[in-house]
Amino acid sequence: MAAGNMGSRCRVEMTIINGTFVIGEVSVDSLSVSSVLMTGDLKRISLVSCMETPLEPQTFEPEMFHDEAAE
Amino acid sequence: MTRPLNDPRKTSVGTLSVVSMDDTSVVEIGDSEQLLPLSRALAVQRERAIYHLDEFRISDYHLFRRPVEHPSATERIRIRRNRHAPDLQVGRIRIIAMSGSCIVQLGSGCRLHAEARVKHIRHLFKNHSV
Repeated sequence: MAAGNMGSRCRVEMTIINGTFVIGEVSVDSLSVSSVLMTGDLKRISLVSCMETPLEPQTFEPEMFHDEAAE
Repeated sequence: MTRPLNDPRKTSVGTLSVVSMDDTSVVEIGDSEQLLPLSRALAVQRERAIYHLDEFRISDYHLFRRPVEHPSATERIRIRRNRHAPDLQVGRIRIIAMSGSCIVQLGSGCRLHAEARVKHIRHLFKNHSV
């Protein structure tokens, strides 16, 4: 692999020599959001995961949860 | 800008077992140019399970409008591949659960972008005794 800095730009050169690519057995219980399991080559990848959880749950009077179907 | 793969690979799979997949998950056998799964979810839990039609809108929450800064792709990358054995051989893959915007790919890809946003909402009664 050779890399050279050309002023403000960067150029990367790579030579990859592949042999036999063999995977025997993979066992995964759970892949969470924005997860990737991959065999093979890849150029670019971006993974985004946003989660918002309230620190304090909102509280309401019980009458706010009006059950129309029960009437 | 990504270009299509110019050196595809052949993939051989013995067994692939997936018990459960969530929405917008992808299982791909073979090469792909781009995969862009997107998942947006409102996870509402109430002390009493009563919900009304159109009660929640995705567009009302800032989390789903927040912009994403993608990494710049301006650098030049020159890759030469010398493949003595270009095939991929996979014996057995066993997955119990895949959540939203998951990708399982047996093969090569140019561009993958997976995005998942989840807003949790909890509604409880006042004077709730724990």
